[in-house]
Amino acid sequence: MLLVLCGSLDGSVDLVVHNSRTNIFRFNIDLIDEYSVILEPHFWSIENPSGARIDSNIATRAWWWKAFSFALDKDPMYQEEVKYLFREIYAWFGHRELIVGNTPDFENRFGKIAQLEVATRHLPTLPTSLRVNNPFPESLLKSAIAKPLTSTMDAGGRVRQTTDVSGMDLDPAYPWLIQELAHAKSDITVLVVGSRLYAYRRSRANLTGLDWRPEQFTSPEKWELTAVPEQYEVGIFNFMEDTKSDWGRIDFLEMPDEKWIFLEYNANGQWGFLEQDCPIGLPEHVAEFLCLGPTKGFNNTRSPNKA
Amino acid sequence: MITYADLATEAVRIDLDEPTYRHEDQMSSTLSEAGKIFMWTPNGTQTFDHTGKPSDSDQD
Repeated sequence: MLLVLCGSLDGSVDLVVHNSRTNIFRFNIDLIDEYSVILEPHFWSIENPSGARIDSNIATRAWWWKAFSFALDKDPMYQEEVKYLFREIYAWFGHRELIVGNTPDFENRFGKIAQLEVATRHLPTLPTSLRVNNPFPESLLKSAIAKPLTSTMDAGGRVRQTTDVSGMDLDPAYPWLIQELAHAKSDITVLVVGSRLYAYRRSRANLTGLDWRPEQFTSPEKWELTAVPEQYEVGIFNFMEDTKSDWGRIDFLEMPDEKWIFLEYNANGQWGFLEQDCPIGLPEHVAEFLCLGPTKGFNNTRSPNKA
Repeated sequence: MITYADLATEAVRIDLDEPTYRHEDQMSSTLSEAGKIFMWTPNGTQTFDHTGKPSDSDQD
């Protein structure tokens, strides 16, 4: 039985649960006070109010899916105690090499620059530089974009989008990730599900900004399924081999000459929206991968750059 | 000189009806509504809560 450590308001998990042909137990951190939990040195069990149950005798694998992304309406002490409980249960699977997908801290160990270091071995990339108190190279002073490193909001609840900038105008005391501006015709995103690739294209023709994300609810543009050219298929699998992962979503730009350029790897990237735009049965494939695909442990994730 | 504050903009938000999680089938939404729960912000996809308030600040 697969244990999913998540929150109750995640549509991707809904899709997995609905499309799985095997048993799944969903453990929602934001509803922790509705479950019955026992965790002891040689046994653990979790039961939900409907009587569904998982325990250490029948659990075969675990998928961590954004559990800590859900806020608990409790004081910080309570939140941290609950998080500890979730980590303990997840670690039980990790030590037994029963994890599917990626660990929740994967991005912390494989950030945007480290990703590019690996990607440049296998896929086209763009000149990129992260600097503090150092002038940017001449090539990035004009026609460049500034990409935020995180999705954290400021005190006023505002966020930074990917923005076109001139490197010479940026306050040098701030960390800036600057990348060469590419005039792409489409966005490409590829969901890696074990040995399968699911690639989708979205036209940038009607974008008003640089990033389609802020416009997704106002634009009629949809993601459409597309084939992966052989050279990029090879590159993607080589990239995944170097990262020691078999799951995640990779973003590309497609240039007017149909060249794909690697942007970033989202080790725990959302994917359910792709099925909404382009129903192909993706949740069934993801559910099959999560419930029946290979598992791994904490020790299997080595440094991606020691390939 | 430009700082982060100069480039910051209002986050994209959506408002959703209050969902009810059902332990019986372990789902929180009708599948037709599931897509509304996936939310994106700069740098990647995030899961938002039912009010559209972003709650995922550390991963895509």
